[in-house]
Amino acid sequence: MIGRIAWRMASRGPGTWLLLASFFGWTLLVLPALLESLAMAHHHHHGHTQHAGMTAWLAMLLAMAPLVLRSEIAFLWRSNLPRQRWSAILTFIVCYSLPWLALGLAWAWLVSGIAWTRSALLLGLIGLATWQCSPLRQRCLNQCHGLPRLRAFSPGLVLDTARFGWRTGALCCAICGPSMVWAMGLPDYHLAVMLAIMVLATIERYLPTRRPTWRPPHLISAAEPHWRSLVVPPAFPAKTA
Amino acid sequence: MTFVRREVRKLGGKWNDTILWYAKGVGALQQKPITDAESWWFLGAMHGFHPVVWKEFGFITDATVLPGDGVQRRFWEQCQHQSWYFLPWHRGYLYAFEEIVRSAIIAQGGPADWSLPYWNYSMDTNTAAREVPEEFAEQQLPDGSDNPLFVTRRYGDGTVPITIDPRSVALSALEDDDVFTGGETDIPPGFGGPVTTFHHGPESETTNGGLESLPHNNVHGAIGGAKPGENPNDWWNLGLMSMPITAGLDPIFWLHHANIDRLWTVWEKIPGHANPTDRTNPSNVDWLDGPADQEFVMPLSGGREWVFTAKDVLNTRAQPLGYEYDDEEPPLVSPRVARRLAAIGVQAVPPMGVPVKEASVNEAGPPELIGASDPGVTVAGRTRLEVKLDQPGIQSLRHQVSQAAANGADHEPPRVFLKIEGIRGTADAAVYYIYIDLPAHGDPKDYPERFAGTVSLFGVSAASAPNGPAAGSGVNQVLEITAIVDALHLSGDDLAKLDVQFVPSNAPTETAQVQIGRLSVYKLEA
Repeated sequence: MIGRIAWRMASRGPGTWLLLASFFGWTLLVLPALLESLAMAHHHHHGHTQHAGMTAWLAMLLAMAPLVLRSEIAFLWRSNLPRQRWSAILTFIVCYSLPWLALGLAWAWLVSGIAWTRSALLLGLIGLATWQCSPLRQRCLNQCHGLPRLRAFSPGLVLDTARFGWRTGALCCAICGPSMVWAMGLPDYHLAVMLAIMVLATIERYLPTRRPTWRPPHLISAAEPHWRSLVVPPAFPAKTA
Repeated sequence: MTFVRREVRKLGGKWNDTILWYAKGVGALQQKPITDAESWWFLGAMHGFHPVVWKEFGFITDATVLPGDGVQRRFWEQCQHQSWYFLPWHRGYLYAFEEIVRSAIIAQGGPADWSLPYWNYSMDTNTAAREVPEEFAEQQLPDGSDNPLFVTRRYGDGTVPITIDPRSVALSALEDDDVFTGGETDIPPGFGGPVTTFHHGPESETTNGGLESLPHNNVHGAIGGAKPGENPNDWWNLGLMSMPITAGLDPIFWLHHANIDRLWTVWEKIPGHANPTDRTNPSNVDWLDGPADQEFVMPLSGGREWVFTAKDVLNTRAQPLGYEYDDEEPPLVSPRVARRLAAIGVQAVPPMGVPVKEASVNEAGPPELIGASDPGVTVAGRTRLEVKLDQPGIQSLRHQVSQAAANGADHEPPRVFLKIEGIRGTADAAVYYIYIDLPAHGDPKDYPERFAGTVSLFGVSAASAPNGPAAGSGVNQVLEITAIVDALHLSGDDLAKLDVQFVPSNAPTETAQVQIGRLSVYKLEA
């Protein structure tokens, strides 16, 4: 049920084009050459592996990000003058990618500097589970539901759109980055795990906001039949006079 | 048996049987505890509930036992706003309420055919129709007992009797909104509202549909109001009708919504529309069988439950609803496009039988932005905001209007809409009148041709909460300004910009503080 609703939300508006972009990203990821590069990144630690790791990281970003950006891209399309739509979307994508590139560089460094032993992966999984349940992560998820108001005319338009892209990218890095870094460290089945993370992240993106507090991951709670009630009531501050 | 809902002023004299029994029925429901699904309090909480507000207003205390979490999740806070489910959900809600009140009336020896009255405040032949019916303002029933229809938190604009301004009860939705569902970017917003899931939760932006906007929202704000002389930005100074979380606790709420429900029926009966699919309800299964993510459920008398979808409430005469209104006559409305072409002086029209292609949701392309204000502005009192228009977009519009005026048209020139985006604040009772290019100190009433529409803040505080379902994005309001822009162009205005004025509707609104995300102007090509 929730998956069907999330799919409907993700596929509306520019969803078809974003789906194609995601498909293209997945194609790049599963190409044999890239898989080989990826394998090299995991099993050999020399200069070339960082380059290959970054390539795989960017392909992964292209594969996984488009579907969660449906609202943002549609928002940019409708809130800009027709002649400025594409440049605004391009500005957004570039700035959205910057935090991911920073995270990718950190990941490439991790690949070359850390031995991905079974115990390291287990430790990572515990850290990941803790993060998934944290109020700070829920706060980031809630932030994704709010859209900024942009200036429609240059030069303010470029500045506002760049800030919007950077902010969205940073939020996405915080929400999904840890799980993706962990998945990329898996010796086997990492593509299958990443696909699962993408599906879950897309569903999670279109679920309602809820009060930031320590609790099980959103999807476990959301599986309840009446998850509407999980939405935090609007704030009515205590009477002051 | 088909029950007949009648206009409150046509029931007979003061304290006629229908109103008197309504009061007794409400009184009986108010005696029941909130844990009883047939109680006044439970039914009100189905529209909205907040423990902090209800305690402050005296409806519950720390000692009040509330229904269990499971019951609250299933029944409470179901109200649908800024959604294409606004009309079907409220129809089901009204039916359940009426059935429970009737049962309480019968239990007291009242008439078995009692029906909920409606309040038609838009009767232009009767100025007094815009006054709250006097029985609701009296503290005692004829027998001297307390009147359950009277509430202290019904402030209006601070004057008695509470009287609604005619601009707040206009029926422009009946006249201009041919299509039920909102278009892309909510342009136009549609008679019934935009496509959403249950309670518009997952999406961040939210826009009022045509009928919900006017007269529905305005009447809420105009009746509820804020305590005279107090800060209208503080929720504890607001009237019950001003906020969705308390609106169902004012007995006038149900007469207001019966009228909104009636207007839905009337809208379907208006003849003369160009497109056969106009003025019909959606055929989309997402609407008919929806919402998919949570079912609508109502309590009925005797502990029964009723689960329904939109398709179950399309025909009011069919079971289980079984009611009709005493007046479902549609007003005489000439087709919107014909009115527009006549206004811009189109002399030549296509041959008989060939309809002019309309700039409607069914036939138009996606809307295009052609102008916007700076983002992040505050409205406080009478406020003037400038919207810069983009010349390529506006030149094309001007050219098409001029061409149509000079040579006739086989298609409608682009329509123009003002979208007030991201309306945020806490002054839910505030209502503004929006004027375009009004002289700075001119009396708005002298310029009816510049009147674009209204903005009510009903429900805005919930949409402004950072962790609420709209993530603090606020609500949007879409007003059609085609006629104003046409007139400005034909009078020689270069349309480089538009001055949009927010004119407070009453004294409490004068001191309200409202944040506006952006004013945007869109055109919709045929």
